Amino acid sequence: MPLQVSPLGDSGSRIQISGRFDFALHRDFREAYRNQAQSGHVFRVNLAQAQYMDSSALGMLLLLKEHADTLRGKVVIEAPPLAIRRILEVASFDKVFSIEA
Amino acid sequence: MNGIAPSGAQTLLGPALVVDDDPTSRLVLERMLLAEGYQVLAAINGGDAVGQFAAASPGLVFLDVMLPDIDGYEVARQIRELAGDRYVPLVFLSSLSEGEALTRCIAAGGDDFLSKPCRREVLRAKLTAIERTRRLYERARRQNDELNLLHDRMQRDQEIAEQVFSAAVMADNAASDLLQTLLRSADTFNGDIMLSAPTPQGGLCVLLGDFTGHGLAAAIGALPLSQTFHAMVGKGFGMQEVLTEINAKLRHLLPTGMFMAGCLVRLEPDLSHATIWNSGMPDVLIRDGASGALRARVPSQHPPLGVLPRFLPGVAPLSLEIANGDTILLCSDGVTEASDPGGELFGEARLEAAVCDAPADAIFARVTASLDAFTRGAHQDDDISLVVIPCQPALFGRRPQGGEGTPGLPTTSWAWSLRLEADSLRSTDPLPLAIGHLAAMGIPEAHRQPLFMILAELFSNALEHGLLGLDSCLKHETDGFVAYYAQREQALAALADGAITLSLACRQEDGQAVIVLGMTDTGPGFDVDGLERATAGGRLPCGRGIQVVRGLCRSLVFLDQGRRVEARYVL
Repeated sequence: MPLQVSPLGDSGSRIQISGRFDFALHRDFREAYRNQAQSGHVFRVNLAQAQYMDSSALGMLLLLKEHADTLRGKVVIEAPPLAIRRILEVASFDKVFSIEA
Repeated sequence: MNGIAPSGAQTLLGPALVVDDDPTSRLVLERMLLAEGYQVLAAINGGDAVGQFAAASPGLVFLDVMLPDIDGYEVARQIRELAGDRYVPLVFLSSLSEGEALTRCIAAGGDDFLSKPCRREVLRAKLTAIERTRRLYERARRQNDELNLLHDRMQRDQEIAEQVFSAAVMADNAASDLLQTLLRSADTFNGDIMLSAPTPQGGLCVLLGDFTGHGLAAAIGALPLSQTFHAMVGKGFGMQEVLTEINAKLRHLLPTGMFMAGCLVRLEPDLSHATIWNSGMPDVLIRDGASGALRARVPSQHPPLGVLPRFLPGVAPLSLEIANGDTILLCSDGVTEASDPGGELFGEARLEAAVCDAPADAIFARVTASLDAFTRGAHQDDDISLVVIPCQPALFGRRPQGGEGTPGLPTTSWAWSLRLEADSLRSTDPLPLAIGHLAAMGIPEAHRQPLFMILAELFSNALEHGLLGLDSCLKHETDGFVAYYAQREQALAALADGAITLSLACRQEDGQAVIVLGMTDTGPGFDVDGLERATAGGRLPCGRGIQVVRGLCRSLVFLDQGRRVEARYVL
């Protein structure tokens, strides 16, 4: 499964990405958070199993952040592998998102 | 031709053609088919069968293998050819054993076979299966047609976008024969963009951008980007202001999730330093002309443009020392992430090696050769862009290819002025506004450049010496530059009262079209005669700016005890 969603406690959820994080996941990724309307909800995007990320994935993260902002929630990027971490750094996304190792 | 299929659903299959020379078995099959709701046509030999098929276009054929004239399999082949793209299930009739018959039948282009004598239940089952397959086939064909149509439309749209892009966006670029550029798109349309524009101070600004997405999505961003870039750089706006405006425009225009990674390089004509901004692109490389080593790398310092509502505090373009003979290289991630057939990436190390190993005048050739050798024809997934900027005096003073001709000199008189008080002086740069006005009034580019220099000198004098009371001599000392600007920042922040009025007028004087530039400040003024005596004697180094202005103007006079200066420039 390239994308799996699981709840985290009662105020968060984890979206786990495996394999390629690219435009093919566009719909599934959006479905994963679209109906979440809880105020202050924390979305954790776990990239430990992701092998590749491109600019459309950066765009998808921005869309998630936009949604989270309307809920006064938060987006945390978890465990990006080295290559993906580098992409996030070049895009200075570490200045826009919380990134946890 | 409608009938009711075994499944009960309406079928448009059309009549069934039964080809059998044996009248008994033919009749039996005909009867069964009529009972199932099909119209039936009959043929007694191969020739008759082909003829009837051509005439009536049946939707289904039952064909005996043993025919008196032509071999059943050959008849099948001819019928298939006549049917073309149309789905016409062909069922062989045979008394041969199952396994052997089926193999030969399928090989000959048949879809199924019925062993003789036919049984009603078997026929029914096969008809159901045939119906099911036909529906699938029809759906697939409809979808395929729709897909082809959409694809053709998309292709046409992309070609239009490509034309608009080239014409409207790239044509304004400052003559780029010295800027070496590689722009290789991954498909019809390029999501990377390269823009270059001269600054009014005689310098050059180069931008390399990488939009998310391809095709039309990138085109939409490129047009306003190019217009903003050329207009603002041409008017003399500073880098920070140009970037702020681009960021705002893209953020407003592009949907969330779409943005443009970009790097911007600004070079002054004296080649003393380069100002570089990198948001989301691979490191900008500066190669030392003398040694060939990398003098500096400027990594990405900020998220791409169009992501954040405003710039992160404390992040600004970097000012770096360069020298004549250096080379600056910009590229998009299509270069560093280009892969070879095995999936390995080109990477920063190989790029830097190519840049440093190359002879100074062949850097572009070496990098592109290295990239091509590495990728060895592997499929290009992303747009590849590369700009090599040789830091040479010849880079400057070029006009864009599509530049303005020489319109007739303005004959109408006009006057324009702008007065800025303390708060506005802190927040607004009046120079681009003045240049914008000159452009709007039809003053050609060739004049706007020296006019900008004159205005810049007069304004900085009025502000820094007239209002803020700074000592200009400090500015010209080697280490005094930084200290001077620190003082300037402080003094400007503390300014409570005071105003500067900038004025422009266009008049005919003594048969010449003249621009009269005026600058008035509300400061205490200065000893005009004393200054003029000192600068005339060449003893005061800090009057240099004014000397240059005098050289460009027909006249320069100080009035009102030095609070007002009027320069006359002949068009």
